[in-house]
Amino acid sequence: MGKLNSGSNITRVILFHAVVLAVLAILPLFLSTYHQKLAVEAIILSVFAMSLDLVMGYAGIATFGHAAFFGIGGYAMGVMLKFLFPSIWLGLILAGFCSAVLALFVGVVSIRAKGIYFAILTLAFAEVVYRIIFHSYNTPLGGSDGLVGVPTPMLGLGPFEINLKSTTNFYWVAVAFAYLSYLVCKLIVSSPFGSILSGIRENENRVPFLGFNVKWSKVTAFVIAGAFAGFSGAMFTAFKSYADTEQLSFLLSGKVIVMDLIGGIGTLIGPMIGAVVITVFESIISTHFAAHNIIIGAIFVAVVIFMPKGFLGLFAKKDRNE
Amino acid sequence: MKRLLAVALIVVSAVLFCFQAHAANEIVVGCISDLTGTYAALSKQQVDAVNMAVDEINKSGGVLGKKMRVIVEDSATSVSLGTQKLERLILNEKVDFVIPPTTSSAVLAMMPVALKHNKLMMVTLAQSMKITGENKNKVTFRCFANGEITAKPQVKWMMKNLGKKYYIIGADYAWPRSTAEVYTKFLKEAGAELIGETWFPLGNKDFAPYFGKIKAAKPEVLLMICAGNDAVSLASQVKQYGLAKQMKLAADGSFVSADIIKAHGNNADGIIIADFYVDTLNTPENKTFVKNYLARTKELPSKMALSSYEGVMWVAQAIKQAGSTDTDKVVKALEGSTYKGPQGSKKMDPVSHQSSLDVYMIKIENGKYKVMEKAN
Repeated sequence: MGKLNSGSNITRVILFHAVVLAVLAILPLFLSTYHQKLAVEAIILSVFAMSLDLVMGYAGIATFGHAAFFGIGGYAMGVMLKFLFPSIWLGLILAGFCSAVLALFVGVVSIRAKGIYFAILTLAFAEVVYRIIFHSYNTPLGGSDGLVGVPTPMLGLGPFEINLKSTTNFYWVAVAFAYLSYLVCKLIVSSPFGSILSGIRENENRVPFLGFNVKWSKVTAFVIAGAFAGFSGAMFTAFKSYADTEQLSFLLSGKVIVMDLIGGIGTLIGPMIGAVVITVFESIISTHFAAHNIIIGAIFVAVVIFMPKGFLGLFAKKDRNE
Repeated sequence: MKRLLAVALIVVSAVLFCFQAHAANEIVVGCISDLTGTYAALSKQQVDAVNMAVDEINKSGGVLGKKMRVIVEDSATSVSLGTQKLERLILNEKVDFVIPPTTSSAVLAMMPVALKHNKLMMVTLAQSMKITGENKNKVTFRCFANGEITAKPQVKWMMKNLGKKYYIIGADYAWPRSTAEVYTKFLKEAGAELIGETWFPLGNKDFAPYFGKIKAAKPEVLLMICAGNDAVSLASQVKQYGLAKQMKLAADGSFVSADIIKAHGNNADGIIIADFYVDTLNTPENKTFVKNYLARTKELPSKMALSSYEGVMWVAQAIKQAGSTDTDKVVKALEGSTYKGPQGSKKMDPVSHQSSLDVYMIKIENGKYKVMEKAN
């Protein structure tokens, strides 16, 4: 969307956003409860996919362990709601904090490695986190059984309280959450810092000559992405009322990369669309076809071969290297 | 062209998204199964057995004059997909009750969802103690064994017949460790002496280094807790190193489960387990069940197949008794009810919703299960 609008005036952008938000806002009125639930899940996962885009699409760092931050955020929210205090705000703060700290640690330790070596290190750290929680069966985290029975809290907004037990309410909250996350990430990538990240992606060796610190820029991007993944995981747990090791697993780290590539990396909005497409497709195709994984795999292969810039790449202005 | 393709894809997904089926005047069973992923093989048995039970019920005239129908959903060994599918079955397909998948974590996450929609779930495969323990709820029942059901009588029998000094060897991950805890609890209660335990990494191939330690400890009974390939390699090396000459061999039921009993060959001979079902159980009901299942699937039924079959039959019996498919009435009818199936007669605990099960002491002979005696 960013590229679509570059050069056009602000009114048009605002109008476009308003139309998209309005469509999203009235959508649940046409959906059954099951489809609403699927939509909420897809929208929450879209923030997760977008967070990966910050590091993969903008800074050009491949990571195979992004689910670790999503999962830690989920567990943080679960622990907050179930054992500490039933507030979704505190849950989000704890989730963002835990994920950011983990991302800072992983980032600082691994950032010297480049390319595939960095990716493998992130995979290794994610596996460590996964294993630790998977084997914690005698602790409140529940080990491989997962942290179940997380209560659904009320969402306090000043004097108002929103009942999140209603799927429609949660849907609107999820849309607001995704939209705000998008705006913040958009601000980040449009800022000078965002330009440094793009510079690192295009030519890492030249950035230091311009006077910027590559290592810390990368770590910062990694931490921001980790925090957003954590927020997304926290919302997921609040919605599904459980936190499970599945949220930390390598499979999810792989799936989110597929989401990003299908949607189109380096666009923020592309990965969000990719996440929605994959989540909806997976749930619905698996009902009708036994070989659903093959179908999704085939779509992925087709997208990578025929539309290397993802779905969004088809609609973007052909402005770079073409 | 490419844009057209992309738009077409979006339109197709929108159509799929709106696709909904309609329920008629029938009783609909929702079967959620891990048909893809780690548990694919035993999940196929679950689906076969559920279909077989429903076909048999329909052949004998259905329940309350209504035919039964099964809708199978693949949860792909995923917790989030499992809960999504449960909601689809309840909200869109209007199923009357649900048979959930193998994965305990998925079942535990599904339980509050089923409770919210007040829909009955009969657990036929998942083993976690929590399902009928600390997380139990009104709509969830289980006709499958949890760890304690087989371990308790097994320990009692072993103490009487095998010896008092025990050594545990198992694979180092959550399930064997938690199973070992259950055994340890009962062994200590029975006054046994646990003289050592050894945990090997999953996928270990060479067990010889552990055997020296075990032999030196001189246990009377070696209790083995692992499954799949680990069990096959451990059994063959235990035989090769002649451990059976110095101690008795016992194991958890999964050590010689139906899916690997052929792979064991004669290596597992002499190992003693306790389980609630093996296909060689000598009752007329079981012989009919095994014959029908074999004719249908060309495979011998495992305890998972048996449990799924009995689960559907038991709920059907409760619906008949309640005279309605209303969840509250069926729950009432199930609580405290008894059911007699191929495995034997069992009673549903009205509080925990865990079914009682006859447990048998079984010895492996010539690569086959030999039922010795009832243990509880």
